Amino acid sequence: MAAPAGYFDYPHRRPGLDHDLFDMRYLKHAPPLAWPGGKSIALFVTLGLDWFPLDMPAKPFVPTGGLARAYPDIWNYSTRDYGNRIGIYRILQVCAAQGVRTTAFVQGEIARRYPLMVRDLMQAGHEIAAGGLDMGHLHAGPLDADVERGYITATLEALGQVTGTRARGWHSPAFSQSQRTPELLAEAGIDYAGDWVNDDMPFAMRTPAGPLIAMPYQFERSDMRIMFEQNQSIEQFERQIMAAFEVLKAEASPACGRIMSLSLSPWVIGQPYRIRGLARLLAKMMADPAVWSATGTDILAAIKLAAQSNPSEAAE
Amino acid sequence: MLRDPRHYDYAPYRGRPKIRWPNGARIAFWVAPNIEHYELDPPANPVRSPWLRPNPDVLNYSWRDYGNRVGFDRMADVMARHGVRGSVSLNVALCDHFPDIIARCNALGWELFSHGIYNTRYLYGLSEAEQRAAIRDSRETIFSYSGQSLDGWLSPAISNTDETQHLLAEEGILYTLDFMHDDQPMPFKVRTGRLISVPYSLEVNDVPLFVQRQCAPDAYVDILKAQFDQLYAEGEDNGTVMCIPLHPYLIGQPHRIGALDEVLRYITSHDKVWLATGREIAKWYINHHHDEVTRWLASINTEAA
Repeated sequence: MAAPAGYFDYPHRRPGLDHDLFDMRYLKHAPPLAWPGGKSIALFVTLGLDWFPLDMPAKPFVPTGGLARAYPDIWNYSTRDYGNRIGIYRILQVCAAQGVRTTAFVQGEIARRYPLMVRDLMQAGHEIAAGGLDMGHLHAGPLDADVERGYITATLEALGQVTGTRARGWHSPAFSQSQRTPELLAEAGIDYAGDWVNDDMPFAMRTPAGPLIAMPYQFERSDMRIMFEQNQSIEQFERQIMAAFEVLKAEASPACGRIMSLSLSPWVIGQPYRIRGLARLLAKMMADPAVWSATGTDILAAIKLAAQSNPSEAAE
Repeated sequence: MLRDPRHYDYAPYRGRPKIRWPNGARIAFWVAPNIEHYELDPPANPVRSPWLRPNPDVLNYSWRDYGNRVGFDRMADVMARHGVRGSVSLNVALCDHFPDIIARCNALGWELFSHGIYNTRYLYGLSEAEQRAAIRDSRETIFSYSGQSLDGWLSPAISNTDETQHLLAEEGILYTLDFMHDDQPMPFKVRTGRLISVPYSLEVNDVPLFVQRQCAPDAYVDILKAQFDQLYAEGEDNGTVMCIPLHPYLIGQPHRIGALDEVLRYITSHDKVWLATGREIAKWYINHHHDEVTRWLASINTEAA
């Protein structure tokens, strides 16, 4: 046994990151962002409105919640679809009670199949952002550029058909990108994407088609991660979300706000035995005078404002 | 392969026609014990391997057999104490193997519906004629041991083919439990006849909770009470269904049976709870709500398109 040729070459060994997609930035050096009204915490609640096709391919990988049983996997299909029929409406009710506006990352297939639900979300004041085509169309690895461009275009068109507007935010199905995804998103006019989970605050990605803001859409404390993948209880989820909230609040100030990302999937948190946990969490956080309920587009506006007042320190 | 099952229309959980259960109940509550037999030496299935270990898989076989020898009576005692009848998801060959169990179900006034012939025989890869034969075997076996009609169906291991739900309707089954898409019964689209779905559960089912999600019994109690609280509250406006699926080899263990006792005591301590069977829920829905909901579904989905 011996290492293959080139195994001890390190072509990207240098200060900073091993790629050019964005620069290394320590959180302590992030340009300060001030939220409106002197608030220090932007509560960024995101909804993943995903559709898992019955004929879902096993390649390039089966995402969390994917149809891993034999065809026709009606067990998983119908459990995920429960979120789109029932769970989302429980979430809408809880958010309305607390005055929380979310950013809903809606997949194209959801807009095509369930336009009623997308209209209900809009009417309740939630931001409609794009969540890719569906869970069977992953942006991953060596996806052909034109095929991937087609996914993005079809997604934005399907959403636009229902909303009459153009989505500004994007979340790739299952947090998966190809090497070209940021570029293709910028090219398609997307302003921000929540795919990289490497920061608590936004940062600018550079692409040949111009900058794209990476928005903190956290996976590690999502309902999917904690309660579905890790099988923890709603009470354990609540404790961890409040712990995160307290830490971020302690780090934040009105001059230098922080983003509290809360990532939800209706088929997870929208179950009857979990939804009251979300109600308790939102009630606690919204009762805190430091909290501002913000959508991705609201946060983007704060970034633009900061860039205007202090061009040298802006996120770009 | 189909992209979606094509059996139900979209139904947002708002603005639905109101479901009114008997006597002003908010919630139709039912318990579905899965009384199963797994064969020691089943034939191979091209899609799903019955056992994880080479045959004989002594640990897995005897774990399940415990449910029939020990767990069943323990579970039935607790249910009877709370006046809760079972709607049995039955591997019908169990009638031939263990008629004593069926006799006790009959004596308790429980419903029997089919969960296939054995839990080691799946619908995967079966022709329409072969699936029809399994449905007819179920109907005849259940009738001969209980005098009951076969009205409900839960596929063994939720195995299906694209034809399964159509065949159930054609064979006169009233309700299917294979789909987890809703907390209310729903009309089902089938090529001939009529079929409805009745809410079963894989979220508060003891197999996923104890085996896959590694729940302790006290966590199980918390989940089931919370499930009930929410569905009971929602049922004030529009009737809901809560099902507790059970497996005697899991819930009938001595370290867990107390959890069931506590959950049933909690639920039955509420008023406006209809302690129903699957068949009673299905018939009530078909007689009082099916047509209205079907019209509503047509109207909202036409409007959306």
